[in-house]
Amino acid sequence: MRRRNFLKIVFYSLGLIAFSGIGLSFRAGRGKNTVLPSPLGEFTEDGLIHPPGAVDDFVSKCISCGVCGDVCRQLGYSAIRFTGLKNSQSSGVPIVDDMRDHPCTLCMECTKVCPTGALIEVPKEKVRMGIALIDFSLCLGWNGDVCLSCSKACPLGMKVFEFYNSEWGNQPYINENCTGCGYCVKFCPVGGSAIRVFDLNSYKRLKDRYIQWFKSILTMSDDERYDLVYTQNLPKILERGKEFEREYQ
Amino acid sequence: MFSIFAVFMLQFLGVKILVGSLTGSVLLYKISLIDLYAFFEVILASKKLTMVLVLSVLPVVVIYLIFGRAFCGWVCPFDFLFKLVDKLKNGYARLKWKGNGSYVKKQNLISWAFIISMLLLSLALGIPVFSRYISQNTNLFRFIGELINVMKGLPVNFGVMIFSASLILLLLVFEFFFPRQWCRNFCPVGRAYGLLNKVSLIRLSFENMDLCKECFVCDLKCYMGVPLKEFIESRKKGEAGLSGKFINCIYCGECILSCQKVQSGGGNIRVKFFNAKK
Repeated sequence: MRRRNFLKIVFYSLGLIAFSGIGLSFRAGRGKNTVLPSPLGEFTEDGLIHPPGAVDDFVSKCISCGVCGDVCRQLGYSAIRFTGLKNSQSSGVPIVDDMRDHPCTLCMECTKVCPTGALIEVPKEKVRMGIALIDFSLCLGWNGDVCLSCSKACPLGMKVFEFYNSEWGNQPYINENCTGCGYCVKFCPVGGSAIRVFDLNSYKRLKDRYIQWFKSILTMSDDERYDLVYTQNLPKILERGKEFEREYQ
Repeated sequence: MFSIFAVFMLQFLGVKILVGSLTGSVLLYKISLIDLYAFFEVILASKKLTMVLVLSVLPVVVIYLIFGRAFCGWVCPFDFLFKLVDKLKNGYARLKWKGNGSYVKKQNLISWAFIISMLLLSLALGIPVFSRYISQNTNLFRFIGELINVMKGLPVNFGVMIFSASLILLLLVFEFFFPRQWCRNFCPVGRAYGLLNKVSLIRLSFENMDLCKECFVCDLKCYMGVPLKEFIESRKKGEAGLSGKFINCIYCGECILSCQKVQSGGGNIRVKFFNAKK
């Protein structure tokens, strides 16, 4: 009888652990421990970026079977991860969140294996996972330099990038043909990357503000621009470089 | 019983035969497979029936049209885990499975209520609720996937990991206090395959009626609550009421083995292919 009681106590406590675990998992989100705010920190829109080829009613079709993630990991890309319970409706669905280390290669293997049709195969150019936006205050090309890292990394190249060359740098701008794969995010030499990928819904909301910012910089007088670059932006870039000491392959 | 689960585990060693989980997977990177219940849930949640879905559920339906609910007894890893818990509790052989026979109707009501409420919830919320959140198989494979991420040093979502682990733990605790109630009454995955039991090629049959001493060890041994006692009694009377196709039967073979142990000459209960008359 003692063994039985012991087992009962063990299993009661296991049950308690399980309940507390479920409670805990609601709190543990997908928080990132970055020291400095991410690029474009003033745009607080935060949507989920699903793998390529996600259909409109992705959330209602995804059963979280994990095939896409497993395939992605086996191919060595490890871009796909799963959301936590914080995202009520879309929890447990695949996302591509860590683009600084694991961007999407647009190999489209995950779309071929998805059993529910939540991801469907589309040509590379028509993928709309999101849109990458350049933080003009951090980008080297917008602050008196010539840096083509992002456009070189981009799988679509000149279809996506527009350059506004001037004496203030080559000034890259990413247009709406962007697939949101995140390769530019990975290869940006600025500490912590000067590019961030937003999902399309967030982009719709912040689009006006972003374009306004873009135009205001382009129409700025030289004195104002000098002030902006040398007293504000370059110290910021240097500071970020110190904080994010990363190795680039 | 472990073989299919083992094939699934091989994917983490780089052998890509079956990739994915028991909820949805892909065979040799060509044939998509999806769980039958998840299929219904996705249809209800997205209110659309797509070709991809049908193509991926088709092989599964064909397999289980032959083998009935053999998924539970031969594929589902939770059958094995639950057996371990049962063994820990009381010694597997001596465990009495309450609720055989007369309780079956009540059980059926509970389980149908659960399955339908889950489907309605999916319809209302527009997300496959059970398959994504509660399903034991999804959670098990999600947990293993995150564990692999930990081992490979990839970023891990601890929220998902903790949730999946604690849900599995909760099921094991539930199994300890209410043996096999999950499989019998709640798990809609098994229920969906149970529907195929009614039309599957495989079925239970009762043979050599004169030899049966009516010890009903088979009924005691059955942990899924199949009304074997009623089945045998009706067969002995010559009625054809129970056809040997029980929605709860998972073809685990416990009844056959127990009967073989009691009877020296082979045993009375068999699993038969095709709809032979007896």
